Amino acid sequence: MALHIGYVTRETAVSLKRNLLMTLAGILTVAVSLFLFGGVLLLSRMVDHGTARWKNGVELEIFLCSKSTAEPDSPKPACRAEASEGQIAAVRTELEQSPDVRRFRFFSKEDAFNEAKRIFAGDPELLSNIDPEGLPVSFRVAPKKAELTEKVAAHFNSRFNDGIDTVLTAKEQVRRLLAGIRWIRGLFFAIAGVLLASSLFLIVNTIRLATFARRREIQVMKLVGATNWFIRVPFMCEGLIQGAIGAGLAFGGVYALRVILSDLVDRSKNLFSAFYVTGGDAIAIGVLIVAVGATVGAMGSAIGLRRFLDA
Amino acid sequence: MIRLEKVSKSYRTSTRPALDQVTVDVGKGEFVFLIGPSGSGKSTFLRLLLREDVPSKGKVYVSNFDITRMSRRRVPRLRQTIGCVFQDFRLLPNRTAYENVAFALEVIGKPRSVVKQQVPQILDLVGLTKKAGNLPNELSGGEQQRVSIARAFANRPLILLADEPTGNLDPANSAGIMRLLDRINRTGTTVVMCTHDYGIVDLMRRRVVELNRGVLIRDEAQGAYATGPVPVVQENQA
Repeated sequence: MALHIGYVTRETAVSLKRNLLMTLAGILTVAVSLFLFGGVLLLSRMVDHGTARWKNGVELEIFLCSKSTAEPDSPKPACRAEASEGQIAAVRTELEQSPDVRRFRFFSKEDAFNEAKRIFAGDPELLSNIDPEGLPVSFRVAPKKAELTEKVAAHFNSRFNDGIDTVLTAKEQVRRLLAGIRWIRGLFFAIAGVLLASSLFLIVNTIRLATFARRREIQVMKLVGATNWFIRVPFMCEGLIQGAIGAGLAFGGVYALRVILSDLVDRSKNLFSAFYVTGGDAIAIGVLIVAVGATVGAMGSAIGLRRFLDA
Repeated sequence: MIRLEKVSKSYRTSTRPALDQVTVDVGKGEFVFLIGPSGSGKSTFLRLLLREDVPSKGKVYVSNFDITRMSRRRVPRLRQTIGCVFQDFRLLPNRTAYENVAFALEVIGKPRSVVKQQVPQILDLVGLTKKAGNLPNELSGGEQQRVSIARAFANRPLILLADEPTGNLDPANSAGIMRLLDRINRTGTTVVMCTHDYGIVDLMRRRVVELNRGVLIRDEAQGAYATGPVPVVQENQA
């Protein structure tokens, strides 16, 4: 059964025009729900970036002396030289034997550079200025309990003679913020899910109204010997276009949101500097949104038609 | 071409079967009138041929299709070999006369060039070349019916089913429609026509199959419809 492109485009265009109001309603619902959906995705990407190092209960990070932190002639207490293999091994042994440490992970210069590459993927200029050899090696430590964080941190901090530079802990504010964001993220996902489902229903309903008005026409088509697909494809294209347009609008919204968020993050310098979204993130989310929108549209149409075709 | 073997059809809503042990055999190129009062089973007869329904009992063969055993997916194929004309025309309301005829060809996947070439020919055959661009509601009943016949005939079906095609038309238009059907029949197309219009049946002198309350009470080869009781003649026993 050959389906002609001309036939399908003609049918689709006519039907979209004839049900303009319902078409717009469908497009807008898809747009709103996908915008929320995309916004939530964007937010969670930010949170992921910002909290990558604090995953899996890691509460503190011990940085050893590196080439760039070593100040051999400094009068103040400071690293005198890059931490030696022996000093690294000593810290490792100490962590292994500490009763307060649940687990830890060693981060080599190479690991650190790879992470930097990931974080600054959108900023090749900055990246080219990083010297992998100047990066410090570090240990990411998860204490047995969160309350032990300060104790472990104090134990290791600033032991320059043992080749240890500084200890970084997850700040209390950041932790609380993360908990809050996670909660909001869950809530948004739920809302977006409900809206997405409702837009599916709306499209189903739009198509069903369109088909109800045309059910005699569909009957005639079937009498003349049209296959179900022959009847279905124009309707599915209609839904697909609605979904894709809605998704396009949503993507515009998400992109604007990214610009605004990036701007906010830039202005708040320190605290949120790790919370960022790259253009690549936004594009990936956009592609996902359009795919979801188009699928929802086409599926909605197929579902809306089912009742009339199965007769 | 069409064969019904002891076909019965009961609907759940009725205790009396719509068709009761009906056996009819229609050969290729025949013209058959199917007559009988309302509720006699004429519509059910046609619905079975189009496989809008399946018989409760018995066998129905149309062209090379075994209606009782065919899968749903093959139904469009069957319908593409049958042309249909109805009392209420059943044209697609948002399409012009030309588009309505073209649709039947698009459905079977004919390329555009073929459609462009054939539709004017068919419209010419039914005498509607000048009305090609009109929508159905801009046409008279007779014209609409001619469009519907053009559509039914567009893909050169083996069989043409007509369900009271003259039911809504005045005598002059009816005569025109009958001339068209006759012409189509002469091209070798099998025509089955349901009708109440006994005048037409008398005039055409073709085979008459009469149903009453779902039972076949007459099957006459040479038409010659006359009022009054006529003995049942069953011919063409397959």
